[in-house]
Parts: sequence; structure tokens; C-alpha cells
Amino acid sequence: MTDPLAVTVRDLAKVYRGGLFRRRVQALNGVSLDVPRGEIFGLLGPNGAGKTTLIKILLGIVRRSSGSASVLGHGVGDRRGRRAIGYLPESHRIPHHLTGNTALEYYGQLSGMPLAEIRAKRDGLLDTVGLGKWGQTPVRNYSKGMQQRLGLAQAMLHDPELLILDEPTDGVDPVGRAEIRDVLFQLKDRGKTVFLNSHLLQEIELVCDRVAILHAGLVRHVGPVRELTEATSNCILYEVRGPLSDIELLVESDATLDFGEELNGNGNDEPVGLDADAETDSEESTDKEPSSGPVAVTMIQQPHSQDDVDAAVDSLRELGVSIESMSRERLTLEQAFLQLLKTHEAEESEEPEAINPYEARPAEGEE
Amino acid sequence: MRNALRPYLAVIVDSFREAFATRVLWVVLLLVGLLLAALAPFTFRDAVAVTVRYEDFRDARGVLLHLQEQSEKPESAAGYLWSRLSEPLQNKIAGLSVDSDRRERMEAFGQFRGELNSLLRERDFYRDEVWKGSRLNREGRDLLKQGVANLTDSDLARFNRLSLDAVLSEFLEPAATNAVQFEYAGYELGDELPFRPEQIREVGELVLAFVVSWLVGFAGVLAAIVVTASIVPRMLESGSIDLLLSKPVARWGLFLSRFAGGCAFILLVTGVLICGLWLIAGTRLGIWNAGLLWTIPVFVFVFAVYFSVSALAGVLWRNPIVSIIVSLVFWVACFVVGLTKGIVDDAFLSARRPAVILPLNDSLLTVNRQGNGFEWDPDGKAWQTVFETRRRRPEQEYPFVGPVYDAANDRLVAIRASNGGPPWMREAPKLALATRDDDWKFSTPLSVPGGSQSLLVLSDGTVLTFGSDGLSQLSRQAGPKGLLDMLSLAVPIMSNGDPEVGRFERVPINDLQLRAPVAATAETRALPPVRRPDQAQLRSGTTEPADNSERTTSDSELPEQRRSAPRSGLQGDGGSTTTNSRFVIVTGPIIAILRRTADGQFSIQHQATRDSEADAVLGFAGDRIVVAEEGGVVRVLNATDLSEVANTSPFGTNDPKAVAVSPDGRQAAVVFHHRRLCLVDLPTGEVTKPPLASQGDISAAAYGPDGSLLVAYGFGQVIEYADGRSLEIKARYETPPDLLESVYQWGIEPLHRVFPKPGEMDNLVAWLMTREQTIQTGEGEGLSARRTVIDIWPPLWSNLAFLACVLTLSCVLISRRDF
Repeated sequence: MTDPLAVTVRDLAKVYRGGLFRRRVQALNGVSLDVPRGEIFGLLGPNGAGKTTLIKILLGIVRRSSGSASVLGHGVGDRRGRRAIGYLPESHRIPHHLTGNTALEYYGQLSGMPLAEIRAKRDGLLDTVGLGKWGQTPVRNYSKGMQQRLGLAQAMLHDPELLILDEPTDGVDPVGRAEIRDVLFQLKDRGKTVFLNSHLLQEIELVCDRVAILHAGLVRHVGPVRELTEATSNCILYEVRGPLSDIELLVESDATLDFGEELNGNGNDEPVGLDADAETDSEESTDKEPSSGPVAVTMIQQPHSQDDVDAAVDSLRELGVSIESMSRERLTLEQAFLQLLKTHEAEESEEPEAINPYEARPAEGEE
Repeated sequence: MRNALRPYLAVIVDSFREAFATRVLWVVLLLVGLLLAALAPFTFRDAVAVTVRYEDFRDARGVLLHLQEQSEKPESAAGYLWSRLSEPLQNKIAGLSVDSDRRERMEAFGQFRGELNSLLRERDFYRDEVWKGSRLNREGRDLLKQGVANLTDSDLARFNRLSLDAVLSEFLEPAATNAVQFEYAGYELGDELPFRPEQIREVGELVLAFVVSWLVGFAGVLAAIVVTASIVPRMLESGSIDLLLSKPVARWGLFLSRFAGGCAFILLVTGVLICGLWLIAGTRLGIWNAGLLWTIPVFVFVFAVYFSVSALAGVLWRNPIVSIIVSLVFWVACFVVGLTKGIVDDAFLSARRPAVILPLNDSLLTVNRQGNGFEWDPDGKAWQTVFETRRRRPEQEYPFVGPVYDAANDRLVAIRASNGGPPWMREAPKLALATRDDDWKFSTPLSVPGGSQSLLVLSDGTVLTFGSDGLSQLSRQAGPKGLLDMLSLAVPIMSNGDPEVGRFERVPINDLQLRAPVAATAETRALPPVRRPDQAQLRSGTTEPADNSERTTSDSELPEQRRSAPRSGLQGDGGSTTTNSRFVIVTGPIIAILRRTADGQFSIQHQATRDSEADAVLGFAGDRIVVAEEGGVVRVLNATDLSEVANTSPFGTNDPKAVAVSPDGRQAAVVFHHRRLCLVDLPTGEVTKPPLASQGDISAAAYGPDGSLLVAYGFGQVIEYADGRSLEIKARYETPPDLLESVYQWGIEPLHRVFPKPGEMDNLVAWLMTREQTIQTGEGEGLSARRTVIDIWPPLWSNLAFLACVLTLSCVLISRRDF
């Protein structure tokens, strides 16, 4: 019997105890998610969110503290389950005495493959990941990107049902990234499930069917990438011109309104390990002047309903503020991600039990 | 099955790939190759035994004084020898006196040996007129017939050495018949060594076992600990372990195969090294010993014990340096526990084991390996010290041949060896006599002839010594009073209270060519009926005050009632004494029964040849002779025609130590060096291994006058069985252990028992190579030398248990851990 779900996680929690005084560190705090077969699933989250812990629990490398999880219909840590998983660990280290070929022999045999089968497959596989010419070269002479490609090759070698890839494009050049992306699509076409953990949001955006955002040991959002960007793209961007004092008054009184500059300004400071080249698109942010005359201001509204939008327009017009442009903003995944984190951090500092609007949509398969 | 094992085999194979790739294996193999190449030129060749070695001197003090004494008589051989010495040496020797200090004596003696050895190379050394009266042996006579001028250089040296032996037989061990010269790449190493061809193998095996134990077992294992320390930590490095653990393999399997990979690596290196040594020993020394190859798994096992600790440390701390430190600490701890046990056992307690039990008619004596004598005090229920021997070192071996009870004169007779020490301080062994009246205090009235290895006391009280030089009898006529006699403190020999001065005289035995090894024993006879106490009192009253408490020689520990109290229930059976005294000797392959003829001479009654030339211990009673040989063979012979009744090896190749025979000639007890005892039913020759609780701890056995069997065990305890068949306990002569024994028994020994003993696996190595459970640790050779019993299997079991525990613990830890 084949389980339609490749990964099932329910209320998974992990507490590490470490250090001299056995300090408690809550790495996962009740995580639930499902990954259907055949999907490329992305796991997002800032450093320390518990992404790697989650992956290691799925592989049985770390034992869970509570909750349940299963992979391909087997409990985590079950050897039958692991046989059908290909894993590429974050900053993995293939022993330096191996060459590309012997590394595949070694890891293939560890996965239970006969040597003859490995030898038959390995050249094609090395070609696939772009190491066709490097099979005889010792791993110690490999660049970071080449090691990453070799790691991917070993994860694919035994033709696993599920690939768990932790930062697969780490250290790989843009061309290589595109190649790896192609490999991932090929895998998807062959019906494989890919569980991807990456810091490169762009990467995730391009390849993932669905993403989960993990923050402080909790899943903050699960859903298709589009859904996530759309959820945040409820925002309406106003470019208005009018007296600043009136506009300020309005922003204070209407909870859905905010100055655009703040959102963007904060976004740039977010220390979430984002790639440096991640774009922020709010160049037009502040040209307000400290006069009482009409100034051009950018505002953002996060309306709960169309009524909020109508009310805001009415208020602006009543105050004599002219609306120069009004657009429904579609954010990048990165912007959505940052905004999400910001919201959660704010919530947690105020009232941790507050209902998260982005969690209103239940994860698929959840009853 | 193969599929299930595939991942683990891959891990083992990867260890090798790693070893090859990191060049560790190449470096280690290169070192092994260099070592083997360095050993390969080592070989030996047959040589003639010529050189006078330090160990050849029986009496270094005596020989110089003898020369000094004879210096004025150039017509004597010793005088001639004196004349051939250089003038400075003559002056040096002349300056020596009885109380010359060590250093002077050492110098003179060393120079004397040097000059003797150079004289042996000279063609004019032998002079007919000087040697006229001295007996050359057959080999010497044959060489002389060829003419001294015609001899080759090596034959000349040999002939000169034989001539020297003839004139200094009293002081010098005769030259060995065979010798070997060890060589390294054509260079001679030291002097030739007096080994017989069959001894080469034996000695070679011991040397090999020693070399292998230290080279591989000590240095090799330490090196292996360092080389392999990183194996487990490297597997557990983050980034590497994640990948391994994601594979469908069991963590404990991964750990164990990594562990096995380390062992396999060491197996390869050890295999190359040992096979190389085996080939060198075989091709260069002619020692093809398959046991050497068996040591390969033993060493890998020893390594595995240390490696398990290293691996556990690796699991806990994931750091190779910590692994090395922890393994070394473990190594030191094992070493300290083993050493403590060894020192306490070998040096202090083992010497307390009784070596001889003397069940006399009315008292029971034991003498332990320290040379201390004890008598059982039936009233105090304790052993009382009756005499002590001063020893230079605590581990010094048994200083006696004997003692033997001389029933005719109610005295103990023994040969007491020199006090040990360096050769230039060595003195001739002394005859030691102790009488009951003198509280069994030994006096050493005179030197025994050189080379005396056996002591015989015939039933009429005749004292004989027997050695490769022949048979000597203690006569009661004083010899000419020379300086030597003065030195040997010729004091009266107590014989039935009559002071006499005696001396040993050679007794010729016709038609017997003597050769090593030699052994002899007198016929065991029932003790004469016990003297009535009043007689004993009367007799002691003639020389001493009747009041025991006033004895001057006695120590305070002697109980006053000791001499008059009834003794331990040992009663004589009233067997008759005959003057027809017989004894049995072994010399080389010959076994012979000798008897004294009416004219006081000794003649061979029967003679037979055995198929061995091994050293032997003998027992003789009634019409049976027991010959227990080095190598473990126990023969029972019919005394009337020396035909073999039985021939068994009850304890494999373990060597016997002593034979006791019941006075009725029905049973014999053979005590072995590994502290076990077997009983021989003499009429049938059937051998049994009695299920005594003390088996493995037995150091001596004897038969009482009434046929009871006494067995000494532990550190001085004796148990008496009513007879050797029912083994019904008749009496126990036991004292509670003292502090040292208690500490040993309840502290050191249990700790040692449970502690892993990787260091003691060399016992197994020695056993694999020699198949003996004892290691000679004392001087001398043959069956009389001191031996240490080695534990062969217990260290294996305790190490296996330890290995299993540590590996299990590591597996549990690694399985429960988050990575």
C-alpha cells in the first residue's frame, strides 16, 4: 500500500538539552505538516527556526521529543523508510580520501545497492549533476560547488522516492543553480517528492509547489507559493499628496493603514539570512518634507475587506488628500516572508496566543 | 544475508581505502618492512664450546684462592696455570684475602677469565707432564691422540678448554658438548652459547615469544592506539555522520563495522609483521613454529580491547586526542593492576609456597621457596618458624636441594646454593645439616663437589651427591687441611651426636658415561619406628640442658612443648631398615639403578635407555620407578628390569616439579610446575587427576610414614588425606592469612580477576609458542629452576567480557544519541 503522503508530521516537538547545566532549548514546538507525493516542497525559516532539526527528525538522525512523524508510510527512523530517501545534508562533508566514483560506490553500498548496479549508473548520474569529467578526482580537490553536486548525485543514486535536500545550491554558481533546478524538475517529472530546505527564497519561489514557513519552532504558514505571495499582496499601495498632519492623523486612527517607508525600511534591516542580492522595491519611499503643505506620501493598507479600502478612500478624500495612484501590490516571496516574520515577532512580544491571520488557512489534509 | 551485510562491508572496505589514501598504511608497512629487514641478518651457526663464561664458574672465590694456594707448586696443574697468568694478575690474586671487597674480587676475577680465554687459543697451553694425573674426558683423549700440533685452531681451543676443565673441575662447569654462535650479518654476537641443538628451538621460541610480546604486544599496540584513534571520531564528524545515519543502516552496525575496520587494519599490519618474523625464524634460525602465526589473532584481540576504549571515548567526546589520552590512561591502569598483582604474587607471596613437606615420625616440617622452615605446632594449631634463610632479593629462588630427612641420624640434609649475586661473588654450594636437637637450625659445614645436582640419603644415612661430574660420597675422614678446608669452615658433622669432620670423595661408577641432564633419587622406604619420647629426651639431654627454655640457639617463637609434644598423628609403620641401599639415576637418555656392593663401591644393577634426554624428576619405591620428564611425560618403570609399565602425559606438555612416592610403593604423587597434582597407581601405572579443591594451587606433596598423602597449597597450608585413594581428609594444618595475604586475597586478586588484562595476553602468546603454562623466572635450567605459573585463559575471558561490555555501551550510546 502506498501512502499518498510522502511526509506526515503531527505536533512534532523537540527539546535539546545541552551544556553544563543541561539547558533546555526548544527547537520544535508542535509542528504539523503534510507533503503529498510528487511535490517539490520548500521549507523556509530564519536561522534557528528548527528547519534542520525537522529534517533530521524525519531521517531519524535526531529523536523527537513528542508528536509523531512518518515518511513514506513508515515511522521516522525506520530503515525501510530511509531506504527510499535520498538526503543531502547542509554543509555535508564527503570524506576526502574518496573520489567522485568511490564516494558513489561507498554511499550506494550503504544504501544497499550492489556494486555492479552502482557502477552502471554512476557515470550517467555524474553527467547529470555536471561532474562527468571528475569521477576519478579525489574529493579533496573538489570546489564547494562540486562537492554539492556530488552530494546531490549520491542522494539520487539509489533512485529514492523522496529527496530531502538541505541547501542544495549552497556554494553553487548561478549556472549550476539553474542546472540543479533542472534536475529537480526532472525528479518531479519522474514522480519523486523533493523536500527542499533553502535560504535562497528565489530558488524556492522558482521550483517549489508549496512552502512551509517555520519560525521559532512553529509552522507559520503552509501553502502554495502563490497563496503566500497573494496573502500578503492584499496590501494596497497608495501614493497620495496632501497635508502631512492630516495623513498622519488618518494613519493613526485607521489600523489597516501604515506608511510605506516603514515597511520597506524595516524589511531591509531584517536579519534573516537573506541573500544580499534580494531586491527591495521601495525606492520611492520617503519624499515627505517637514512642511505643513501638501507632500507626497506612500502608504500601505492591509485591508481586511473591501469596506476597509472604501473607508480609507473616503477618509482621504474627506481630508482633501489627492490620491495620485492606488495599486494592489503583489509581493515577492521574500517580501511576504519578511512581513510574515515581522508580524509574528510583533505578535509574540505582545500576545503570543493571538490568532495568526496567515494561519487561518489550514494546511492541506489537516482535519 | 549478503545484502544485509553489504553496507557494513562497505564501511570496512572504506577503512582500508582511507588507510591507503592517507598513507598511514604505507608508512606503517614501510616501518614493518624496515624492521623485518633489520632482523633478517640475524642467524646462528654451530660452534664449539670453548669460551669460559662468567656463568661457568661454580665457585669464583674458591678458584682464585685455590690458585693462590697452589702458586708455589709449579708441578701441579693449578701451579702451572698460575705460572701462565700475567704478573700483574698474579699480584692482584695474591693480594686477595678472605675479606677482600667486592670490587677487588670482581676486577681480579674478570681479568682472570679474560686471560684464561686467551690462553685457550695457545698451542703450547697443554703440557703432558702437567696433565699427567688429571683425567681428560673421552673427547679430550681423542683429540690428544691426533696430536696437539695437528689440531685445527678451533679443535685446539676445544682441547685446551677440555684440559682446563680437567684441572679445574671443582670450580668450573665442564664445557658444553654443543654450542651455537649467534651472528648478525656475519658479525659474531658475543661468545658462543652452550646450547644443545634441541635447546635452540626451545630457547629460540622463548626469545621469539619475548620479542613478539614486546615488539608487537607493547610497542605495536601503543603505536596502533595512536594510529587508529581518529577512526571513530572522524566517522562522527558533523556533516559526515548525518549522511551515514540517513542511510538504511543500523547505527550500532555502523559503529561496529567502523570498529572492525580499525581491527582489520591492524590485522593486516600485524599479519605482515608476524608472517615476516615467522619466515625469518624459519629460514634463518630453523624454527618453524606455527604457534607464532596464532599470535596474530591474539595481538589483534589485545589491540581490540584498547581500541574499544578508544572508540568509546570517541563516541563520547568525538576527539582523537581525547581518545588517545583515555586509551593510554586505561593502558596504564591495566598495567598497574597487573604489575601490583605480579609483584605481590611473584616476589612476596609465591616464595611462601611450601616447596618441600617433610612428614617425620613425630613432627611435620615444611620448607618454603624462601628457604624458611616451619614446624607444625599441634597445641597452638599454627606453623612455627624453625629456620630462616637470608636472601639478597625477595624473589630469590629456592636455595636448597632437598632437604631430605636422614632417618638413620634423625637429621635433615640439604645442599644449600650460593646466595646468588654476581658470578664473581659466587661460592660453591654447601652441604647443610640440621638436627632435631639443634632445633633444625642448619649448619653448612663444607662445600659439596661442583656440579652436584641431586642429593641422596640412603637408608643407612650415607650421604651422596650426584651430578654430571659424577657421584660423591660424604666420608667421615677429614681431608688434608688446606686453605680451602679452612675457608669452607670444616666443622664437625653431627652424626648421632658424635662430632666428626667429613669430606666428599668421588665414587667411580664403572661403565657409565655421564652426561646432562642428570637426576637421582634414593629408594623411598618406610621410616624406622618412632623413638620413644624418653629416648629423645634422654638423647637431647646429653648435649643440651633438658630445660628447653634455656636453649641459646632457639628463637623465642619456638614453643617449649614442641619437642616433647606428640606430633600430628604421624606414626611410623615400623617398616624394616635394610642396608641394601638402592637408588636410581638418570643421565642423558640412560636410566640406571645403582646399588652399593659389599665392598662399599657402587655398581649398576640395571640399566635402560629411554627415548628422551629431557630433564626429569624421579620417584622410587618398592618395585616401581616414576620418571616425570620435562615436557610432561610421566613414565612408570618396573624396578626389576626397568621395563616401562606406563607412559602418560597427564597435563599435556606442562613440566613436573617433584615426585613423591608412598613408602609402600603403591602410589606416587607428581606435582607439576603449574601447581597441579596427579596420582599414579604404581602397580598398574594408571594416572588420575584427583578432584582436589586445591588443584591449581598445589606446590608440594609428600607421603606420611603411615601412607597418608600430604598436599601443600596456598601460601603455606597443608592438608592431610588419610590415603591417596579415598582422599578422606585426615587433618588440616592451616593458619589464618596474614595482612599481606588478606590484602592479596580480598583486594588485589579479585580486582585483578575482574579487570581487563590486555597486558597479560602475552601469556597466551608464550603458551601458543611453547605450549607451557609456566615461565622460567629463576636462574638455572631444567626442572629445578624457579617458574612462574601463567594464567592463559582467564585473561582471555576477562578481556572478552570487558570488550563486550565496552562495545555494547558504545553501541547503546551511539544509538541513543542525537547528531
